[in-house]
Formats: sequence, C-alpha cells, structure tokens
Amino acid sequence: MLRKDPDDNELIDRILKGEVNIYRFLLNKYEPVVLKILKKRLPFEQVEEVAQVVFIKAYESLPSYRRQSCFKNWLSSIAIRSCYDFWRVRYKKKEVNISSIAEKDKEWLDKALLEQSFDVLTKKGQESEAREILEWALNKLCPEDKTVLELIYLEGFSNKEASDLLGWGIAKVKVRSFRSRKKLEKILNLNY
Amino acid sequence: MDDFRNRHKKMRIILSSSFKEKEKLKVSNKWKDETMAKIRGLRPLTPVQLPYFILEQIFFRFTTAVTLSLIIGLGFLESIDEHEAYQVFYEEPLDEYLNDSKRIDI
Repeated sequence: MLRKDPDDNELIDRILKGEVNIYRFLLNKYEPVVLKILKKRLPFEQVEEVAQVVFIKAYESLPSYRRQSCFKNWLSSIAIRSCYDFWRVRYKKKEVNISSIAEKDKEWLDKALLEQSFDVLTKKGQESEAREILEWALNKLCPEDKTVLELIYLEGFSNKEASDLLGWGIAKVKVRSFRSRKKLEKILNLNY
Repeated sequence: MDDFRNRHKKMRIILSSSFKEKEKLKVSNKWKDETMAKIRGLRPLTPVQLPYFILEQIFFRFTTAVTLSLIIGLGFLESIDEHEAYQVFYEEPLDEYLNDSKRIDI
C-alpha cells in the first residue's frame, strides 16, 4: 500500500525492486511539469509522442538517478534534452520550415513595438501574430541556439541553470546565449 | 541606442509572453496509458553496478571453470613432462650418457 503523498525516493526504490506499476504515480505527479516544457518547445502535434519518449527514457535511466538533485529537476533536464534531440533530428533532415515572415506579421510587429505600455505588450504576445513571429524566428536558428535562447532569453534561466539542465559547460552556454541573441536581433531586424 | 534597447526590451516581452502562452494548450490523457503499456513491456530494471562489484561477480562466476581448467591443464603438463622424460631416457639411456661422460676431461 502507498501512503497518500509518497516520497519520490520511496517510489523509485519500489520501481527498482520490480514494481513497475508504481511508475504511474510518478507519471501522474510530474506530467504537468513535462508537458509544460514540451508544449512551449515543440509543435503541438508532437507533444504526446515526445512526452512518451521522456517518461520512457526517465524510467530506463532510473538506476543511474543519483538523487543529488530532486526528481523534478532531473526529469526536466531529460525533457529539455529530448526537445533538443527532436530539433536536431529535424534540422539534420532539413524538415524545419523557414519560410519568410508574412507581410501582415511584419506590420503587426512594427505597430506592437510602438506601444508604450508594457502590459499591452504582454497581451500582444498572446495574439496569433506574435506566435507566428516567434515560430518563424526560432525556426531560423540551429537547435543549439534555439534551445539556449528559449531557456535564457525567453524563460529567464541563469547561465548556470541552463548549463545544469542541458549538461553543457557554462562557457558553451554563455557563448551560445550571446550568439543566439545576436542572431535573433538580426532575424527580427532589430538593429535599425 | 536607447531606442534600440527599448525595442529590444519590448520584443523580449512579446516573445516571452507568446512562448509562455503555448503552455495553455490542452493535451489528451491517452499518451499516459500508452507510455505505461510500453514501460510494462520493457525488461526489468537492473541497478547500476560498480566496476569492482562486476569484477567480483565475474570472478565468482568463473571460479569453477578456472579451477577445473587449471587441474586439467596441470595434469596435461605433468603427462607431457613424463612423456618427454620417458622419451629422453628411452632414446638416450642413462648408461650411454654415463659412458660418454667418461670421455670428459676434468
């Protein structure tokens, strides 16, 4: 029998002893965390498939989970790396759509940037034009730049946090972060 | 310069909001059952073993085989030795050797 709110380590121990069905508790508990990461980074139709990959990878890697960081961070790291792998495969196959930005979106962006109130800008970000511009700009970046830009520029993680999540050296993250921001500025033609 | 910074800040707010907005999309729960089904189909997990533990296991697993092969090997070597000694004495008997040794000047 399980307690009402069992400890993750207790669940992991039982899974490692062969109680596979206990994994369902971890899946239910951390599903929102993983889906939140995936929905922001992947095309919507791919989210469920990659979510499966993430939880299967995590299950298979359970014996090597060191328990130094909490399970949530460890799982988030697997989810972010899976997104990175997804885009790397797509990039290699040249399946990334980098069509040009629509004229109406360009006009929308110019108008939005003239707004004085930051509250209005947040609402503007929820409009479909903003989403199209974001997709278009991110698709123009290579998977490394895209991943770092999402973590640092769009989500506000520190270099150290991004480095831990990606398993990259901090110097690599810093360089990528700088370059990707410069590329984004160029893509969005912000330098005029 | 300020204008550039301002534009950049505004752009960041728009893109970050748009990025965050994607969280709200709804996903069905079907994938969870499929994931569990796939996991049940996987082979049982084995804990990660430390190198010395693996070596120890290998040692114990092969102890019987190694002991047996040593016994057989040593027995075989012994029989070869005996065979060789027999051949030497047969082809070159001790008497002849002693006869030859008489010719040696000390």
